[in-house]
Amino acid sequence: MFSIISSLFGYIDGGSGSLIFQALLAGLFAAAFSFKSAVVRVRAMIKPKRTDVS
Amino acid sequence: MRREPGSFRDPSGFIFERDGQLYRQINECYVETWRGVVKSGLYESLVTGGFAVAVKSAALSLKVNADAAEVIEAERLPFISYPYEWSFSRLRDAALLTINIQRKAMEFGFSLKDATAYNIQFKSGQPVHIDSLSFDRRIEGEPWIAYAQFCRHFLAPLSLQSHVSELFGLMLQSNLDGYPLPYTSSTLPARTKLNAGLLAHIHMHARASRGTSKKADSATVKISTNAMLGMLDSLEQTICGLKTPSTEGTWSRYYGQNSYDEVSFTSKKQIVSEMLAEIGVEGRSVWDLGSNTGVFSEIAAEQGALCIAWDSDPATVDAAYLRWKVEGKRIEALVQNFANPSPRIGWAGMERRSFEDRGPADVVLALALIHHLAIGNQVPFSMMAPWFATLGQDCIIEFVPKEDVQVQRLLSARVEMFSGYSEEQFLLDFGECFEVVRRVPVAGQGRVLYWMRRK
Repeated sequence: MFSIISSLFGYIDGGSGSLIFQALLAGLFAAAFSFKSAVVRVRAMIKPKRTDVS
Repeated sequence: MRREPGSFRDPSGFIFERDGQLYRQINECYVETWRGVVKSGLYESLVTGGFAVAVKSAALSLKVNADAAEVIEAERLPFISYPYEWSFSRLRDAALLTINIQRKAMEFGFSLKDATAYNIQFKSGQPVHIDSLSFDRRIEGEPWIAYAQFCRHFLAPLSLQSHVSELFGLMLQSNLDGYPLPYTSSTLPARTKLNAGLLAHIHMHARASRGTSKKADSATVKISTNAMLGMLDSLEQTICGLKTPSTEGTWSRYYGQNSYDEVSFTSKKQIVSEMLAEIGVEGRSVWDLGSNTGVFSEIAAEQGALCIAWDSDPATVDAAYLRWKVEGKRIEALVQNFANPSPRIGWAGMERRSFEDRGPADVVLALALIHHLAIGNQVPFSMMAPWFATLGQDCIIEFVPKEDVQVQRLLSARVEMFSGYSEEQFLLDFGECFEVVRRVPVAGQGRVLYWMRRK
């Protein structure tokens, strides 16, 4: 199994397929998260400017 | 000393009770991680945010066995309920809390090692995490070991309730580890494959979970922190996007469609309120069986009772849960089928306690209920009385006569079977277990309210 999973918690069956699945979709999830973070950052940059103008 | 029978799977420790106080033994194999959780500030942050129950250090001498490295005092919650008694919105709130706890854990360098719905309970109407030993140090790149469990325990039942039937909430009782993903995938309608979240977390995940460990050995599995956060966002969005199964249940319209007019209903509320006041329910537990929209639970709560509102209709319970959540009322709305109450289940029938085991309550309300049990479910009064006697000391029970519209509706197809349904028979059978403290007819009705006290 995965050496990175602590053996102490071997009693929980993470499901090897489920763990691989996370890795397969990791790129997609990371891209979505980065996009969301960028949108939040851009919004944060725009909002104070609008406040300044008003 | 009594070990909590439902706390035995995790080698990290377990819950036990000593002199009426709840403790958790932390075993040698986990104590370093637990100290890390505390030292990092994670646990304090969870407690401060209302995400987790409070704990405090206790003397090691309280330990149960030699595996112990530490003992902590755990907070006792007023009532323990189970996911198969929760309505849709309650399970959804528990799911969202679990996601937020995982995010918080990651901030502090930890990760939830399990994500079972049984780790969540409700305190004053708010979800709270009760398993203090659920955290493990997170190693960068490590996938979330509890992801599949989270999907089985939360996303699968929520999506099945939302897209197929609300009955999938109740059926969790026979699926203690949640719904298997291949089963969920094959049961959900094909159109759910057009939902990106359900496509990924249920349908594709179900296919992937058929994979073998041989494949896993050859894989180098890495998932970045951003990917993990993206996955949590995706789970959250998918869950928030699920529609509540039904907004109007059978009983949510009851008071608008039954034989009550305003005068009768006001009279009933007045009588119940006076009986509760005379019993004195402040700080005491009241179980409202067949609570419907919860009008009488609210009366009990207004008098300071710790009220549990039980009803068999998940949609009605969900509406009450959402309303009381917004209003900040301390009433727990839970689903219960009184003709087939929650049994003892799990390993050796000891892991999850039955409906009756979690009583007795100080006061039981059974308003417009017993005619449904007697006629709708064919439970004789002689079998009903001892059951009520196990549930509470004082019972306020409404007797609905045969002439009532509701009873006539129930009897329409089988009047011959219920010749014994009469107030006289009710008194005779309930008289075996109870004494009648008061009998008050409801104004403008043939209905009667009884305050009975267990003998």
